[in-house]
Amino acid sequence: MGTPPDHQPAALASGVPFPSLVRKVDRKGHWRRVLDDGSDGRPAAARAVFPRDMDGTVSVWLVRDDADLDRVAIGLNSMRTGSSLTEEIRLLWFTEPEALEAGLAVEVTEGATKCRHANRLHRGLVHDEGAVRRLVEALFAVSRDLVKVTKSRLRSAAESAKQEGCHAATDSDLCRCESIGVDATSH
Amino acid sequence: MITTTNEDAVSETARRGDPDRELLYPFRGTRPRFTRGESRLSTDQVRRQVRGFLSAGAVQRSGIRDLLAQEIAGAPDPAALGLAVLQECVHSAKAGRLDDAVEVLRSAGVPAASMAAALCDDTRSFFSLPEDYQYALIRLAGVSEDSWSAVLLDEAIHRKDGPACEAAVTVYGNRTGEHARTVLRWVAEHSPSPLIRDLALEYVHESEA
Repeated sequence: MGTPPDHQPAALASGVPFPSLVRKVDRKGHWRRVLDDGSDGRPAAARAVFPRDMDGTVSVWLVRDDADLDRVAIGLNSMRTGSSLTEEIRLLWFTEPEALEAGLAVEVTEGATKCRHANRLHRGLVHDEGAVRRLVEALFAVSRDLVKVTKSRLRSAAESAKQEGCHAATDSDLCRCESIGVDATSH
Repeated sequence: MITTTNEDAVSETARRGDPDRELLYPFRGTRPRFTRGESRLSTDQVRRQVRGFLSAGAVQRSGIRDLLAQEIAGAPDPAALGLAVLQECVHSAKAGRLDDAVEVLRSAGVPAASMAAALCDDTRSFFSLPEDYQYALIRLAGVSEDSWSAVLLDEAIHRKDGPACEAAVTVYGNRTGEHARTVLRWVAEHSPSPLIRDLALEYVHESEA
């Protein structure tokens, strides 16, 4: 991932500036309640949104454009075995420079969704409690709010994924996701 | 020679569960492997399976979930195993862990009300449970079909604030129809919480778009 430190994010197409790292948030209240109520809940928000996984990382996704964002959302929904691909998703975004400045290292790791394009966009933040706290403080300092990938957006994303033979949307053997996401690992 | 005593018959009824109890745990989804009471999975075994489910890739997940759901549905006390699922998911670091809890419990057909009953007593009300427990159980109530779960969902909406209300708004936000919109408009108007008001309005606007 070679984003220069002075990189200015591209224009917003979906509430997320590109390129960004995004993390799925389970409940809007995990983050938003602290934005509304002040600083008391910041440690709890950090624990809820950036918990340390068993491998010592926090799972995030690199999104460079709308297509990446759509595929990451479809990929995340493909993990939900009992639900449709169009379940709404809430994401917290931050740039790689923001993560680095807080002291978080970013590793390229393979995702485990059914979408190969999304899997190449998976990153692991090497968990460090102090660095996570600094990132969370920095994001609250700029009142960073969550973005939502809506059902209507996901309906068209699922349709596109189906047409491209994505394994998240179809059992086709003609998946073109790998060629679409071929340059993802160069970031 | 095999003889059947009254005691055997009573034990058999207890093992299989009485019809009223069956109604509390209607199995939805794939064909159950077990008759009620036949599964003997311990809570520790359930916890291990849940950890496997949460760590598995998308391809393996459905198989693990179906097996887990069948074991829970076939257990003498599905709510007890359901609690183990809930605890393991809530304390996991995986993104989507609350959705995962709801998914497993829904597949096993464990109603939210039976789990709420197992967690609460005279000294502990549902709305004093840890926030993520309230949230997941109300989301589960939204997909449970028994009347007690509907009562729980209704109560959560009328709280007008807190994680249970947040979950209830999400449940109604994912429903279609005028009743759901009416509920969301009411919450948007009456909730003292900016989070809940915004959440409800978000769904109202989406439904009208």
